[in-house]
Amino acid sequence: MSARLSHFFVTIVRAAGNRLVELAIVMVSVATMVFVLLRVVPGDPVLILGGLDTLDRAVIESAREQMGLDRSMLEQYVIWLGNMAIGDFGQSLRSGAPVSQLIGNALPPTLQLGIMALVIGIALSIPLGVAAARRAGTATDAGITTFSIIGISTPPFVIALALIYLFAVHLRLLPVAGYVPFDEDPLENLRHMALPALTLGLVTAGVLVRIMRRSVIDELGEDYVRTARSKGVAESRVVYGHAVRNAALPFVTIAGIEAGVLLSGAIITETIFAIPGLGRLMIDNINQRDYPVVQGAVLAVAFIYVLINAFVDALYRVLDPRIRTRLAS
Amino acid sequence: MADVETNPPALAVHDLRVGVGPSGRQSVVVDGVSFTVPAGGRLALVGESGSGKSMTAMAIAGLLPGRFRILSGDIKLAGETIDPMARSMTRRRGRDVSVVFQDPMSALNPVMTIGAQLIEAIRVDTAVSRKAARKRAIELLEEVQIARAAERLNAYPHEFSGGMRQRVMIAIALANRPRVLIADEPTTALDVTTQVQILRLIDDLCRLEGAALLLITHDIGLVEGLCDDICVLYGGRVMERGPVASVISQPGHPYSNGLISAIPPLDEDVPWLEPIAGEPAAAAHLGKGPACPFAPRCPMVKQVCHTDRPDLQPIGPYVDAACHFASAQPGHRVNTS
Ligand SMILES: Nc1ncnc2c1ncn2[C@@H]1O[C@H](COP(=O)(O)OP(=O)(O)OP(=O)(O)O)[C@@H](O)[C@H]1O
Ligand SMILES: [Mg+2]
Repeated sequence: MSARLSHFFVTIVRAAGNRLVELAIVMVSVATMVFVLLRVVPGDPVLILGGLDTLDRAVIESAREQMGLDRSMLEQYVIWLGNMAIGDFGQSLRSGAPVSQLIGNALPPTLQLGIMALVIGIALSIPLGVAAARRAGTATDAGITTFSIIGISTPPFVIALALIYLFAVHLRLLPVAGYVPFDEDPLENLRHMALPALTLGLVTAGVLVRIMRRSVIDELGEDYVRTARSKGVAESRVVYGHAVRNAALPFVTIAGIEAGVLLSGAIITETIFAIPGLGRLMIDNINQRDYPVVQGAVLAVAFIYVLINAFVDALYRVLDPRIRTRLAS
Repeated sequence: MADVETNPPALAVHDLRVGVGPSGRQSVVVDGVSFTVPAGGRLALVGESGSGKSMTAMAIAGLLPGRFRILSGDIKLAGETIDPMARSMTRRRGRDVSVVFQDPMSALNPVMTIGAQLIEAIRVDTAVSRKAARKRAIELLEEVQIARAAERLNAYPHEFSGGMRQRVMIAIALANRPRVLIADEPTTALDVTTQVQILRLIDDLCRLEGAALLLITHDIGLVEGLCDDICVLYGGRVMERGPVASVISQPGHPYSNGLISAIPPLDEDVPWLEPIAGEPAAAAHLGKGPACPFAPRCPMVKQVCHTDRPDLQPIGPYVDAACHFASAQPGHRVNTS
């Protein structure tokens, strides 16, 4: 088992290495796109920050100069890329706070939310998907499929409001909104994160249940399952030890994609539950045209996407020996 | 074998009927099949594609695919009637009856090592320790003549050739010394040289372990010298049944005769073979009508064949056939040309 584990980490490191080039390309492309898009969208940060367009022209001009906005777009772009290369993401136009610090503060709540939601989604979808597959065509299957369709088709904010109503307003078990850092009060932190995580977890479970159900049904029809049965292996072991193990391959792929989707789901969820995460940071600063902050936040999200991808890749290699050998040779 | 008379047969199938589809509108794919395999004996189940060989075998092992059901019949393993679709069948599989399947490429779990799959079969017997199971797994791989067995335990199926995978399947099937081994076209997916090796292996190991063999094949040429008895299926029904030697030298049923005429002689260079004219009947369309299932393709067909279904009846010593015109006289060979 420990050999397997160390093998796993070696694979991850190697996969990450393979991905460095890809990472660089993705990051530069995203950076360029965000940079251009933000400047194409109408709205001047100075005017928005100033709040009025009746400001003294001289004041406006000096502010623009201070922020570097008087230079040409190409100049701004080159300076920005150069600064990023040395780890300087710039300062907020509004508060002057370093962007890296703003992102550093916003990252933990978002990551916690994403991980909790993913864990809830996976923990719900494996047993439900397997149960539906084993009883395909029965009332149990129909019930689970209905749950899954509701999860997929209901907008997250509706799920959020329903959960808030049930657990916070009606049962008074959990807070309506807000955030407490984990290192300040772990219990309160979890109580505050429970509903947002459950919201996103249910959305994720909706998709993953379907994948699990379909994959297990497919795998149960495979020859190796019949072989396992022919050996006299107990049915539960046939299902979990053989069919589910193979169904894990498509499941992991989709779970990786869903993990990415969670990040965009986090924007809405963080707004509803007043969690100071990356999503909130982005939304607030888009409205303020605070270019450096938005750019930094988008890059952070893109970076997380690439990491998830590398992780899924590595996991896939651990789960599928056929890919492992193809890679080794 | 001296005790054939006193010992119950390893496998006795009586009037087995298998259907597919929703109840009420089932089509019958195995229709009243009966045969016995004595302890340590060998029976060949032959017939063209779609004749119901696999479904007969899967019914016995309780491994019928989803929409198939045993409609009626009696199956005895070592004299004891079993219900193959019951939960309790699980503990009989691998011990009382084991199966080697047709396609070794898909029969093994692609994400589990050979060793894990073999050890899983061995440890169905819960008393076996992990260590003892590993030792037995190596032994089994050596028995099926896989070199460097200990090392090969950690290999995955995709690292093995088709022939080697089939050897692994045989090792798995024999892991718990089953009374009956069902081999469903075990060599169809393999090249000719490998076919011979695999059949020899099955032959040797069944003898060694004292397992009775139910060999399914559509290649009647494989049967001679390997099996004692033969049972010819067509459209889910038994056409002819008897000792291999008599059936092959003097087929009593025109269908058996047709199958045998289609065997390429080993010593001659024959540029073409005589196939049986027409398409194999889908069993689904048979069963209800009062006609002989083979009538539409039979070269000897008479009026009665379209109106009366012939029952299986003795036509010679130990030989039964289901044909109105099967001859009981030794030496008579039905002529198809
Ligand atoms: N899913 C299915 N639904 C309905 N009928 C089926 C299905 N699968 C197989 N059958 C029918 O069952 C009958 C018996 O099939 P079976 O697989 O036992 O034949 P077989 O003798 O093993 O042929 P082969 O040599 O091709 O393996 C065939 O007539 C086939 O058409
Ligand atoms: Mg078959």
